[in-house]
Amino acid sequence: MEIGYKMDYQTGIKKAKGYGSANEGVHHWWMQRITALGNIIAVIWLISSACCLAGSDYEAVRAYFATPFHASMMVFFILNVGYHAILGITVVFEDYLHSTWLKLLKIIGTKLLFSLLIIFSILSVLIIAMGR
Amino acid sequence: MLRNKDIDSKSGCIHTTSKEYYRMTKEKRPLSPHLQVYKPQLTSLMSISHRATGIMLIIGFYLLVWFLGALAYGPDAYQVFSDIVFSTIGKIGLVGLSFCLFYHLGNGIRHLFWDMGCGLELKAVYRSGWLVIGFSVIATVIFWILIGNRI
Repeated sequence: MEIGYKMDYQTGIKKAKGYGSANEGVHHWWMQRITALGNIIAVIWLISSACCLAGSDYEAVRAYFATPFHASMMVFFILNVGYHAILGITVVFEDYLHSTWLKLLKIIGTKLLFSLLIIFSILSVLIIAMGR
Repeated sequence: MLRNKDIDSKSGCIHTTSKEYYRMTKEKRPLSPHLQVYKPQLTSLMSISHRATGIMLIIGFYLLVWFLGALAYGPDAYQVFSDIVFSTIGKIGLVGLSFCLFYHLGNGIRHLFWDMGCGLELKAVYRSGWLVIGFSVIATVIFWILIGNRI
């Protein structure tokens, strides 16, 4: 690349492939908004469930989340909120951690931890819904 | 500190060889956005609060995972969960967490409107800001009036 001769905004891979943008530059931003929309529904459901269930004993709470509708909503909540949380905390780490390795470690660690928590939660919902 | 001899008397230029000047420019430069000199405004405070409440809600997510795990493991595990989470200190935490949830929900919807290009005028930004604060306080109060005496 000739520096100082002509401003060149294209990267090497762009010229080599000739495809232009991969259109994934705003993927993170867009998914944050999509999950935010889903979160509105999920949170309204969670709040109304909390209002229904407050003060109930173990059996009643378990029976509530064992119904197909509420089990589905809980899985939806976990997936949607979990994804939104991963995206959010990634941005926070990207903004405030200035050491590349620490940043990478924290982001990957958070993603692994959240993946594990999401899997654990969904399996718990299945056990609650199907009984043991 | 800059001394007189660091400044050229004719041109007013600063001698770049001065170690002191080098240190000032390279090491003591304040970082944007200069939080220490900015007057806090509703807009900036609400912006950082959105992030702060989002981080707090991650604790809420962990609590939900614990809740589901406890439900799946059985009555004994659930008893441990409810003894801790529904204790007095736990309830105070839950009130704070519910406020964070309502705030993040309301302000998140405010952000979605901005993303569609609505309400970006300064007046509208302040109006929606106070609306979100009002909503999150009122929603938290109503929520705890509804469930407070049962848990």
